[in-house]
Amino acid sequence: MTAERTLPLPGLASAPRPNFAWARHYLRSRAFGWTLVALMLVAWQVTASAIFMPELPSLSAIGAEWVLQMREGELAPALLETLRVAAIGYAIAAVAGITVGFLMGRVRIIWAMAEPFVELLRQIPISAILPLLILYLGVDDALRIVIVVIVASFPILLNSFAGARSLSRTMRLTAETFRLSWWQTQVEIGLPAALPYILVGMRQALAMTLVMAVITGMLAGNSGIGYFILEAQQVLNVRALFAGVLTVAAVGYLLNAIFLLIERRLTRWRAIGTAGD
Amino acid sequence: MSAVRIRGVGKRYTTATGETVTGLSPVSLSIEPGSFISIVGRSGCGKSTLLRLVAGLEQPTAGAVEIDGAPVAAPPDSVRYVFQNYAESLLPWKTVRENIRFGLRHAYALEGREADPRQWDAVIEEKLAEVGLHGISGRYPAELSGGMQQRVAIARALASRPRILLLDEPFSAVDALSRAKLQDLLLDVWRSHGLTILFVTHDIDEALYLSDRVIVLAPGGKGIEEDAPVTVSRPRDQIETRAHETYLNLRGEILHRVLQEGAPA
Ligand SMILES: Nc1ncnc2c1ncn2[C@@H]1O[C@H](COP(=O)(O)OP(=O)(O)OP(=O)(O)O)[C@@H](O)[C@H]1O
Ligand SMILES: [Mg+2]
Repeated sequence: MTAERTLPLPGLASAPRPNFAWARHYLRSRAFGWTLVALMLVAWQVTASAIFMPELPSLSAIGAEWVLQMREGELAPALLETLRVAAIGYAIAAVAGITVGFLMGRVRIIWAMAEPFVELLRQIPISAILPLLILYLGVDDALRIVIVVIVASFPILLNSFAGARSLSRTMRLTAETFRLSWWQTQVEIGLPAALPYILVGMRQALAMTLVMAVITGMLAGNSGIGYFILEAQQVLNVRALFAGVLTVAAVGYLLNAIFLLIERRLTRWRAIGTAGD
Repeated sequence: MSAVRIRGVGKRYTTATGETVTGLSPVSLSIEPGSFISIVGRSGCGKSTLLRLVAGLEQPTAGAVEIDGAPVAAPPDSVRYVFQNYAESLLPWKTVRENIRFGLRHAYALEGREADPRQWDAVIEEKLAEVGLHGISGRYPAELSGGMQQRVAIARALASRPRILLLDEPFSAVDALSRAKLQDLLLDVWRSHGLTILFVTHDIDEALYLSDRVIVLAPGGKGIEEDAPVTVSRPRDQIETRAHETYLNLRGEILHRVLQEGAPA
């Protein structure tokens, strides 16, 4: 194959063309983006070490601060606290969003009952109801978890609804001809058919969950990595500030990567091209 | 007693725009237990509609269907429908093995009895062998050709041990050579299980080769146009049967009738 490609074409350029296949492959893969990230970090490190700027500490200094804060400072407990709020909120949002969204898609009465509520509520920005939430819930755990639940449940709910609606007529009739009960139909056919949609919603919600868990730590209750960042700003510890921000980015990336792995495993059957095509 | 009795059964659909469409004008039929009946006719003449009515998947707007003497209100235990669009009827998230197991778990014959899951793997391979498939039980439906998927759908239906099997154009995605093989496989299955089969096809030759009786539906859902017994002896043979005088005469008659019908509906 390569031999054929490198042969000079008669009538065209006489010199053999260099093979750029590896370059094309590289430029079209994510390794390209990662190289840019690495280059940027190198540029950062070089600039920050060459010119002293209080607002831009070098990466090595940030790294040292990160280790210190993780070992002896507040970063580790703050991170755990944020993850705890995120996990509880996300779990509740997933259960509520899948249940309500899926049932709305499968049971007409539930759709009729819930659709106006869902459509009204999702128009309201979370910031608009924040004062009310604080009034009712105080500035504790409850507030932080409820905020995460509200924000994360909508993408899960809407995608679960779409997934439940995606069930084809043939599949519904298949359940009927095999005499599945209502419950069996939902569990054996409805949910698996909706799963790819549900997972899309859960992945969108995952990113929002982390963002909200960080923000609520800044808003109220003075806890978590949000508060850690805020405090670092107040005492002008720019290194700690960067350490906090970069930790959030890394954790978000990691969570998303883990999610993708699970998603790919659960929907392996979809990754295959149809042999009959 | 007839296995299936169709008394003046008709179906009118109302479309999303409020239009009324005739799916099938009232028809009457009586189907003997253990017989192989084919239903042919142009696209849109109501073949699938008739099958859905027999399967209890739709309620008629006129008349009633009886299975073993009892009127059909919901899908009966003893009837399984193999759908025209097999690609959507197999569960794509289940492997072939799991799809067949789905049929086994929902077998009416096993209801109430404790089925032994240890024997299932052997039964699954046996069902697949009956439709001529080997060594594919670990694959997903998307990893099979169209004809293989349709055969898995048939094996799944067989696994649920129906007495009446409804097949909606099961071999339409299959090339002529494999088709002849599949027809013979189906006849073997029919005989060995003692099934009553209603078989929908576009292909008059296929209908004649397989059936005890061929029912021709008139275009535009106008009902039964012809109900012809196929008196060619069994077992049938792809070469001999198709050259048989009775077969050829019948084929000529039916083709003549269908072609006379004029412009397509
Ligand atoms: N759910 C439905 N709503 C409205 N009209 C329908 C519905 N199902 C079928 N029809 C109409 O009823 C008629 C018969 O349809 P049917 O699917 O039974 O035809 P068919 O003989 O199986 O055709 P084909 O050979 O193309 O599968 C057609 O005119 C079709 O448009
Ligand atoms: Mg049809």
